[in-house]
Amino acid sequence: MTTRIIDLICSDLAIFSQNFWINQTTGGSGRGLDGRHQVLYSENRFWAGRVDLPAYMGGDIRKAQVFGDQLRGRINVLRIHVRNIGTPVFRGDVAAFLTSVGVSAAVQAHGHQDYSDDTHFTDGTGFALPDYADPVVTVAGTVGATTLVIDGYLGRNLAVGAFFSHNDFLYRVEENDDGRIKFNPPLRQAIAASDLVEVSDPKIRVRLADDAGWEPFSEAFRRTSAMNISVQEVFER
Amino acid sequence: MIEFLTAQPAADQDRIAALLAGEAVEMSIMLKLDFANEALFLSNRNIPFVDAKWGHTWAAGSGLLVGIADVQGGDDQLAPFREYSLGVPNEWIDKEGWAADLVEMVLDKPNYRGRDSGLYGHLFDDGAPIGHPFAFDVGVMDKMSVAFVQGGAVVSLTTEGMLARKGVPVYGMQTYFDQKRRYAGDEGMQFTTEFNKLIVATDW
Repeated sequence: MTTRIIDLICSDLAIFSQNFWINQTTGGSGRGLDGRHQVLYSENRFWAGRVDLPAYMGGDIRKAQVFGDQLRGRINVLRIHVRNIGTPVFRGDVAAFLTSVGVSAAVQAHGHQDYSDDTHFTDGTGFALPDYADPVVTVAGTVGATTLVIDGYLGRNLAVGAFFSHNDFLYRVEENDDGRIKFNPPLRQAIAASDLVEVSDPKIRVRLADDAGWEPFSEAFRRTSAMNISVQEVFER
Repeated sequence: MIEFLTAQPAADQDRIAALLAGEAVEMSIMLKLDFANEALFLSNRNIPFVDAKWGHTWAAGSGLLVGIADVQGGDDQLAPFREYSLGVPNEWIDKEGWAADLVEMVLDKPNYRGRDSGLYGHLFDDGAPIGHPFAFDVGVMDKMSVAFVQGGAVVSLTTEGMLARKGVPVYGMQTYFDQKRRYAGDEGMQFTTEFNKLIVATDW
């Protein structure tokens, strides 16, 4: 298979906002005379999304046009780096990360956290500072599972509604009890114990929902307009 | 107890009855195509599962199954053929000469003609399969054709059930023209054409 995977990264090509939701299609034979309706469904949920792009200028327009050429409509795959908002994430700056999770500059300088009454361990050290590494899976998950146990600060504090990904399959947390997470959609692939899940930079592979999804960038006069593209999840790995 | 339930494992029957009475029923549609080179077990789920009856893994097959036929039939109707639409595997699209390979697949009749096919359903309880698969239609694969459209292709596969075209003269035998071929002057079976009737043996 020679399908190309093309990364869409905010730093490379500005993204105004992203919105992802899970689509589900159901069937049924219509509403009965008693007003009740029996819905038939199967596990066919998939991520759909809309990515809003700002008005590009100058070199960014050309970059966007080349991007569209690479995509070839719905053939090639777009890997979107999903913004994980409202949950602790590490963006490459340890001090900024520690500050974002409430560790003061003084404590950071100290290298560890003391008890609330400023006492510390007998050897002079204290509690370790929050770990910024992506969480590690401690109990493996089979295909179709909707729960996992993950360890690490980012895992135990993964906010409800936040994302994580594994092998570019995206999941959204429904519950988190100190690392015992429940999520949607079900696991697309098994995850082994000791595997990492991505919290700081979750990703999803998608295709354009429409072959002409990138076409507006080819229209020079759209350069002053904001744009959006609709995408749908890709399952093949 | 209805026949459907009696065919299900005894331990699951009550739960299956309760599920079927619910307003939201999780059910998978599955298609088995027993190609000689590799049997396909497809389902309309995007997560594979293993059935408890045969132990087959039913997978989405990368969206290979793109359309299934209406299951029709009834009294006074000939059992119909089914026609399934299969997408072209993604890995073929970028392969040089994929169109030729596709035609070759269609021409490779021993790979599919007369081999098993079946359309099944399977109930699920909170995402987990329960009970055994139940058949909507079983038969054998018959004809395969391919239509090339801009940017891709769709393979159509016809299957026929055991009772497909039951009662229709086989190879046109015992029809007016068949009789004329054998006995040039015999007009005795003309009525079968005129009245568009099939031969029905007298019930002595």
